[in-house]
Formats: sequence, structure tokens, C-alpha cells
Amino acid sequence: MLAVSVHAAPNVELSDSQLLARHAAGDREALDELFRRYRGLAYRVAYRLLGNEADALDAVQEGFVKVMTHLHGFQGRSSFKTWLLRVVSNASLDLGRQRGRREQFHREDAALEAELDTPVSSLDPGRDLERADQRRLLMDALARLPEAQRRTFVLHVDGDLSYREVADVLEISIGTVMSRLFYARQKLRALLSDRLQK
Amino acid sequence: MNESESLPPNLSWHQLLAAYADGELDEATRVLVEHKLRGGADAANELDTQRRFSPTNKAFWNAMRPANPSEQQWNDLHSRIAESVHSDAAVGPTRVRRSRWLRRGLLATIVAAVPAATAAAVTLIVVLGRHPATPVHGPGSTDDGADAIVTTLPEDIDIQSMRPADARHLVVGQPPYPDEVTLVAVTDIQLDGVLPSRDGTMPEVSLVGDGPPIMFSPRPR
Repeated sequence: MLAVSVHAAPNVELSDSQLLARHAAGDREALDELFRRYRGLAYRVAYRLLGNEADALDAVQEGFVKVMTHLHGFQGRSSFKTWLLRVVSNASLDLGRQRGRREQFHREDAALEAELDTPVSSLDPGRDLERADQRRLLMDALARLPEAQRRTFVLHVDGDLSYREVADVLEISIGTVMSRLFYARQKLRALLSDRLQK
Repeated sequence: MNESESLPPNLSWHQLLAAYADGELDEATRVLVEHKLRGGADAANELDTQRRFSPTNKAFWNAMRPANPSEQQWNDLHSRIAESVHSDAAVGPTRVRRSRWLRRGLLATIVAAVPAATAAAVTLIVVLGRHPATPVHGPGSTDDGADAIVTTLPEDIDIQSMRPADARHLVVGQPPYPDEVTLVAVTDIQLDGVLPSRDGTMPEVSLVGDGPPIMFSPRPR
């Protein structure tokens, strides 16, 4: 058998588990890299569940802090990504319950107004406004889904998780993931009718 | 085609349709679903809906994506996370939401601390034999530099951080003294006299003139 000694090149991207090991060993830069790697994903999930930027950032913060300070509970049974998104989505739903649906809608309206007030940078401002309006319609429709369907749907679409990963995060069967996605989409279609462009 | 014979027995048609739209089926099952889809318009309509809201519809979801936070916001968020994570004593995010129990607990702490601090001030007067000036009404008089406690309402408080060692000082539950607490400093009250305690615990303290009830506790020696 050939014994091979591997030395990591300086610019080789480390895996999540390697970064977690480095973090556990006191390497502060490991957190920086994990944050850079997953901040966008975590934010999209939180935003879609909460409907506004400030709360979404709070949920992302809570998720990262909980995950990084409870590494002993991780034990490598799932990927870092699925573990993080589980915690972030939990935090988002908790925050959402605290806020209450009504407040969420008001905040979303305020967020939309802010978005509409923002100077548009594209060459087609009419299109930008139209998309902003469509995003609001979608957020409103998502908010009307049952919580279990909404969470499943968001983890799959915005969390970029496979059926297997969603099932692991939510501790449900893949068949349940399929059912929730089917009915979530049917309901979205019913709520949005043809108001969204394909 | 007989559906019950052709499709996986543990999955419904709806489940399969969702998975088909997302490209999550194996080749054999995908072929079976496609065969059934040729059977009617209803199935095609359902598939259209499933595909429309599937992540495979990248153009749609890219357009629906929320704007990312600015780089400054990311940096601020990262700083808060790093501060919490790298602090051994951190128990949560730097910006902790003011939950009801926490607000009550903090208020309770303040309410509980006020009488004790007042008592400490009074005890100081007794020990030093000093008679303060005319009472000054209103909280937190600090004209002569005497100790005072700043009062606040729960709405004024936004906890920025908390360590486990601090958390044990929080009193959780309803404040023990439900009415408004008037804060005083050493210079705000005039003692009439202090009698030894009858039961060995609390001395009897009387004030000059009428005033609101004040709680006292002896200063530890």
C-alpha cells in the first residue's frame, strides 16, 4: 500500500467540516469563511419566512451564534448547511410568532415602500417596480400557507436543499416533503392566480 | 395504464408529480409518471403549477429573490456574530430581543434593587449620624454627588449582551412591588429615628414628615 502524505495548498478551499474543526481548535478565521459561505443562503430562507430585512438579519445572527456555540450538538450527523438552515428557520418562525402576522404584513408593506423609493439602477425601472410588486404578492401568498408547508417550501426553494436534506432538517419522511410541496404549490397558484408572470 | 400497478405503491400521484417537477425521481419512476401524464389535461395542468413554483424555474425565482443586504450590513452582522461566538461567556446574539419574561425580569430586578439601595443609603446615614437636608422630591437627586439609581421603563431597555454570570441575577416573574417606585438618594430623606429590631431582623426606621412607604434592609457588616 502506498502511503500518501497530503499537504493542503494555501489556496485550497477547506470543507465545512475542516473549517468546523479549525474553529473548535480556536481558529477565528474559520467562522469568517463559514459566514461568507452561507450568509446569503441563510438570509434568503429567513427573509422568505419573515418578510423583512431586519428580522431576517436577526434570525441569521441567532442561527450562526447558536450553531457555532453548540458544536458539541452537531456531531456530523448532517451537513453544516442543513444544520444551520434548521436553526435559522427555527429562529425565523419563532421571531415570526413573536411579531404576529399582522405586524409582519405591515413591515413588509413598509419594506416594499422602501424598495419602491430606492432609486432604480437598471435600464428598465418599470420592470423593477413590477418585480418588486410581484415579490410582495409572493410574500403575501407564502405567509398564507400553513407553517409546515411554508417551511418545507422555503427550505427547498430558497435553502437550495434536496428532498433528502429537507426531510433531515424537518425530521419527516421524503414522502411528506413531496406532499407538502405539492399542496404548497397548488395553494400558491390558487392565491396568486395569474397575477405573477411566468 | 393502471396507476396502482405502475406507480410506486407508497407514493401518491401528487407526491410523484411534485418530485417529477423538481427532477427528484429516478429514471424508472420518471418514465412511469410521463406515461401517466399523457393521459389527461388535468394532470398536465397540475404539472404546470408544480413546475411554475419549482426551483427548476430559475428565471422566476431569480426575479423573486429579495435584495441582499449591503456589504456594510453584512460586516456589522458578522461583527456581532463573531463577538458572541468568540466570547466564552456568550449565551446568545448580541442583539437580544426584549422578550416579555426578560422585560419583566429586568424590571423586577430594578424594582428589587431600588429598595435595597435606598436602604443602604439610609443605613449609611444612620451609621454616620448625618442628617440630610430638606427632602427633595423627585428621583435621582445627585446634587451633592450622593449615590442615586437611574430609573427606567421596560420600553427604554434594549439588552445588548448578557453573560451567564449576569443571567442568574435576573428575577423572572412579576415584580414583587407592583406600584410605582419612588427613587431617592441619601439627600432626599430625613430620618426621625432608628430603633433596634424587635425580632432580630429589621430595625424600625421612622422618617420626618409623611412620605411614601420605604423598604429598608440592614447593611451587611
